Amino acid sequence: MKILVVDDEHDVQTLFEQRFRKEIREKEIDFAFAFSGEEALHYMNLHQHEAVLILSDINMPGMSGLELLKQIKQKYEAPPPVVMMITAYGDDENYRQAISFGADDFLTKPVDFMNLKEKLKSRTL
Amino acid sequence: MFNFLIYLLCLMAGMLIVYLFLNAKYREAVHRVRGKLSRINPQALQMDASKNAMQTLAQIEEAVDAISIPKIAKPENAVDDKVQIEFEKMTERFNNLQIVNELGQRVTSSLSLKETFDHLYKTINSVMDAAIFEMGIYSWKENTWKVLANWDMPRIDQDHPYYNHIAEWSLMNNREVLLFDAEKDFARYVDKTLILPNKQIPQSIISFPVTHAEVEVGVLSVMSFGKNAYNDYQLEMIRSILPYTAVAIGNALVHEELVSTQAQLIQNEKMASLGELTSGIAHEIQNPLNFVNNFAEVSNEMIDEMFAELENGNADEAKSIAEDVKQNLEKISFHGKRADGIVKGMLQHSRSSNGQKEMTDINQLADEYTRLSYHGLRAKDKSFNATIHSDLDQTLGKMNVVPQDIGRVLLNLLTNAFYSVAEKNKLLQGNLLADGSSYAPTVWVSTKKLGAKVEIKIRDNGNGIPKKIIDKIYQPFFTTKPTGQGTGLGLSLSYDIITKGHGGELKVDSIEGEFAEFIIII
Repeated sequence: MKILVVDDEHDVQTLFEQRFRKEIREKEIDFAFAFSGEEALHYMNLHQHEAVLILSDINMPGMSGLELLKQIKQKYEAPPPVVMMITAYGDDENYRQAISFGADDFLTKPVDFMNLKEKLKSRTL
Repeated sequence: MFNFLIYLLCLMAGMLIVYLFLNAKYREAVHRVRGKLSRINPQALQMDASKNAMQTLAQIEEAVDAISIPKIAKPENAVDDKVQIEFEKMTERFNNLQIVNELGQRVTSSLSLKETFDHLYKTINSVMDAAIFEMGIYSWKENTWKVLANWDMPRIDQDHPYYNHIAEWSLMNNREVLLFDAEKDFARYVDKTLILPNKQIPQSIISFPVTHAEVEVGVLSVMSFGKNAYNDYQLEMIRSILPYTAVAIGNALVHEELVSTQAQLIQNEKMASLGELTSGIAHEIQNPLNFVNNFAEVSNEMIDEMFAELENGNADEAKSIAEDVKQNLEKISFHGKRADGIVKGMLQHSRSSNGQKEMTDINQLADEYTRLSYHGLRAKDKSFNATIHSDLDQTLGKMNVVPQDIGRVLLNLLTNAFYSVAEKNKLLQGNLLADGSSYAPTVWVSTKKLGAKVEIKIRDNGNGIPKKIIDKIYQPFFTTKPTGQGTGLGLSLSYDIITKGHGGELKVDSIEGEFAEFIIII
């Protein structure tokens, strides 16, 4: 499973690589990282249909996670990649919008990695 | 012989004419000053002090100028002692009139009570025995005295009222008190005479109420330990000083009020901008704390793995994990410091600046405040979004600045920039720009080394600043924001911080509807 993680914080990459070191070592999950919405779209153009799951931070400068979500769901029709949204604000407004744009799941910061692993495993099955 | 008598008579008549002429001139001068002073509208001195007081000052100066003291040539061959004595008296009076005028000019141009008191004391002590000299200022609103004195007076508070009840009587009754044998005469005014803490008893006590804008604001008191210490002429001199004293006290009081109001406004502005930031700060602290927690947890797991590898004899694998753990500890430390810096920055922002310059990383400051203002606005308005382009010159090094103050300037400029792009975005309502392109709200932050100086540029592609108001943007209280949304002090404070506080420049460039760019050079 290939997962694209989108976040404006660069250390998110190190953190994911360590949190999922077993899964990476055993080639269960292959991570790619983008540090802005624009970068994520660019990556997806180059590596079409590879990204299965996008974990995106809603609150990013430039293109917001919600905008990215909207564009992905519009652009990649059959079948669109699964998109999980992460945000620091666990508020109803963002949740409602994310769902209406077609988000498949919704996580709040701080990310519970055990919970995330469970969710990812259920998607692989 | 007869001729000589005629000659002597003529000479005496001549002297008399000179005396009468000078006397008339003096009276005229005094009359003119009184006339000018009576034209001063006491109401004009009240609240709108800076402007009206300046006008009043000009009137007083005019009055002072009007008195051209004639040069007095000493009469030669003065034969009449009486004429000589009168002449000397006149000279003394002219000199004293000059002293009063000078004093008037000094005290009315001073905004400090202490300075006014010093000038008054110096002058009065030079023409009479002012063993004790006190200037009492009374607040009717707070019912309190503030007294400046030439001696170490007992303190005044609720339990210790102004010991000088004669001065109090003078103020409350708006009447002069003149005691030339105080122990005998006090009963006409008060029920006991003044006794100083060291048991000394002043014998001559004079108190004059000072009236400003028709309200008694204070009392001048002069005391001597000798009886009958003051003559009519000296009393008249103090009376002529009173109007100047009134203006000086009025000015100083209004000035004090202005200074404290200004300090309050600046504090309000700080707290308002802090309020805008709190949500941004919460977000900014959450991220580093998440990293600290996550890296700490994952490192713990990795240490367990490391032990397992060691037990299995995989030294290389263990070593590689140890390296990762070390890297994690660095990250924990980094993000811990980041959160620390944000909290410190927030505290510094709300605290009044101590004005201390210190070596500061301008890039870090710019980065920190860009994030804070962005997230602050984001938290308030979820639909808000903007791209931030930062181009920070890594060769900048540290600069000697007051970090809280420069931070405040950056915050102001950035908040304005984000506000402007958000407003333009709202205005367009998703429509395309005139050139057919879609609008991308953008804020640019850049730093550049300019020799020993540094240039910080903050640019936005928002609504820009109309030409007709660009000269007004640094004026205090000028704001284009709707009532209640801006204090109008942000740019004015920023301008002062950069120019006065750091000897730098704050420049602006803008085309209405296209962009605004602020350039700081320090």
